[in-house]
Amino acid sequence: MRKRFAATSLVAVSALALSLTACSTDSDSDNSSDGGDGTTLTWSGWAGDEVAQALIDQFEADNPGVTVNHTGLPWPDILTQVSTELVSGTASDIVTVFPGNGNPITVDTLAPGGYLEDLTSQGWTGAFNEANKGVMGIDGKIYMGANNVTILPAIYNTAALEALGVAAPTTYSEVLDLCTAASAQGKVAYALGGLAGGNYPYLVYALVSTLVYGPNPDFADQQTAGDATFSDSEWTTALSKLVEMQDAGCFTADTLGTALEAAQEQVAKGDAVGGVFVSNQIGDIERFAAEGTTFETAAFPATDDASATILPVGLGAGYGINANSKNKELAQKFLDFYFSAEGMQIAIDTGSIFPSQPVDGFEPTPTLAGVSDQVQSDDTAAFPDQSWPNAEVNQVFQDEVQKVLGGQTSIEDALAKMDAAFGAK
Amino acid sequence: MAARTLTPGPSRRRRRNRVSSVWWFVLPAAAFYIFAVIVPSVRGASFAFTDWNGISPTKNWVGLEQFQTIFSDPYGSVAIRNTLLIAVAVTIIQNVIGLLIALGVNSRIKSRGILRVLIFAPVVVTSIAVGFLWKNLFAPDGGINEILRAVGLDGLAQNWLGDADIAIWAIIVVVIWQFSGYSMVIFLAGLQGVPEEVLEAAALDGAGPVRRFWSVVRPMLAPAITINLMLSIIGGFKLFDQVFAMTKGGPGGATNTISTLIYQNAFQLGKFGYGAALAVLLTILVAIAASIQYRLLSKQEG
Repeated sequence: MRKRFAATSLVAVSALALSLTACSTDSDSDNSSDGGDGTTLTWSGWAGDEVAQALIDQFEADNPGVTVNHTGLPWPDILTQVSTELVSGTASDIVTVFPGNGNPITVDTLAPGGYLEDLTSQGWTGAFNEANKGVMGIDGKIYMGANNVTILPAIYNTAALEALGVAAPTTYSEVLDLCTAASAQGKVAYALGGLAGGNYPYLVYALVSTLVYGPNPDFADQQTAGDATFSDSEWTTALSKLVEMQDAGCFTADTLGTALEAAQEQVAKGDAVGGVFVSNQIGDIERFAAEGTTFETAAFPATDDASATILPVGLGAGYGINANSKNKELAQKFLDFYFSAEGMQIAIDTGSIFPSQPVDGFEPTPTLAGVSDQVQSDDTAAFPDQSWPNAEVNQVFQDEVQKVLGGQTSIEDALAKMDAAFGAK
Repeated sequence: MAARTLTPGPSRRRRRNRVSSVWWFVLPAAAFYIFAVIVPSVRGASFAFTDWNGISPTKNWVGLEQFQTIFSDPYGSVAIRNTLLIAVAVTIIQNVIGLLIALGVNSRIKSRGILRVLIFAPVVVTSIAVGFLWKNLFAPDGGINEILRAVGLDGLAQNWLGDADIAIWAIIVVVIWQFSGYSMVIFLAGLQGVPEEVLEAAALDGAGPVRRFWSVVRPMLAPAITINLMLSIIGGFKLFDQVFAMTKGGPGGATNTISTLIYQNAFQLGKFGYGAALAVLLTILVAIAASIQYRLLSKQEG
């Protein structure tokens, strides 16, 4: 009996010792880079990112002896992988960071924990406008940067517009007219993928940019201060217009069962006249389309005053430097290159990005030509979710819009739930 | 105890030595198991009593608050209901289908070999791939609706994944399609153990096929039934991949399971403590279901 107790204790004690030595989650443990020798840079970026490879090739050519190891992570795994690695102290030197708030690897989530290097003194930060700087850091400091913006226009199949004999709508009434004309031809006016991951949230983003955030850029701050709510704002008008469009037959039938790819294909083939998509999904629409199909973009109107239409433009995902990196100098050198005219040009050429700062000689793709002037103007608003205090608001927003489209909830209840999430810690 | 003193046997000390020496052999494996499984699990479970967001260096002890949230959170109650529905529906339907197919391909039909392979094939496909495959089949203009319309059953064409009431059943159908072959294989193995002569004797005594199955085959299949029920109920409770690939818990959270909520809260919403509380709840549910089932069926086998 005593022997058995001794043996059992030994098992327990040795296991405990093992686990205590190896199970540490202190963020000061080893960095996963090869010891910070100043020649090997590790980078956690996106799977299938052609821009990354082109940048690496040039950077390695410019800096003989330097190797950049890029790990491509798919969405949404990138959220868990990068955050887990940062917390456990095993993150790459350069990590993907989103501007503003809204998911686990945004600057608002990571910077307060001390996981990101302060980049305020870096020269490249000067090229960003104040609106962008606002979402690139916290407390007046900058912790990330991105070389691209995401634009949220309505994209139209030019041939489908011509078949209806109309131009891209510039007022909300014209939108409803387009719906009527398209229905008469047995077509869908606006392709809407309502299944998870579809483009259905974007149409609402477009409406509230004109109705809420354009006229009042401080709306989210007022909500935080308790001076404004979703329920008591033009958000109600935006969701009413969504329902009005649905009732007018503007959208794909069986919206909630339609996946993003199906909606993109409808626009590509001309079964739908257009749709509201983020600019990095436009390439997919063009790929789905037959040779020679042309597309055009315009800001999606929410009122009958064409000049009041605000275009949603958000700083895209970018990069920050891991605060525990042993290669900070090399990482900063790489970011300098990433934001240099040469680096920006590589990204424009290989990734068709829309640059986040002025680049000499930049020509937007023909499809984006219709909105490129507005992107550089003051008639833009950041995506609303970049100003939301937690990721839950976005989750509730997406779920509730699905329920509104499915007729399972009222606009009041949907917005009340969003208000509750906004206030949740 | 009393009986044992009457039976002469090896001396007690030798037997005790043998028992304690066994512990030395267990030591390396046990140490590794405790290090790799027990300690991380306990550490993970301890987060359920904190408000940790998965990122912050600080976490506060909040006691049972996260568990109370599960039952007050509308998403939580829907997810628990869905998880129970999936576990029960999948367990019953999948095993009935698996058993019927096993009985079918256990007969002397010519193509039984190829049938077994075909029916087992979906099992070896990754669940996430199966999810994406069926997501396309269930699309409004996807394969299922196309077939229904082609045979004139337009009225039966549905918005399979977009209708909150139907989507959960679409997921259940996919899980059953994928794993019935697994149940079939286990039942087949059990059926191989039923002696031919006993069945013949029962037939000679005038037992029809139903009576033969109920009185001869069923009792002999008890171990296979136990394994199948255990596997499918635990798999049903833990279901994640198919839901994630097909609906991500939508529309409007109508198809969330406890597993998808765990993922969403811990890794997407930065509510690690709440995610851990859901995980602890799921562990308790699985443990209760498994132990009840095991007791009931071991009685039956005994």
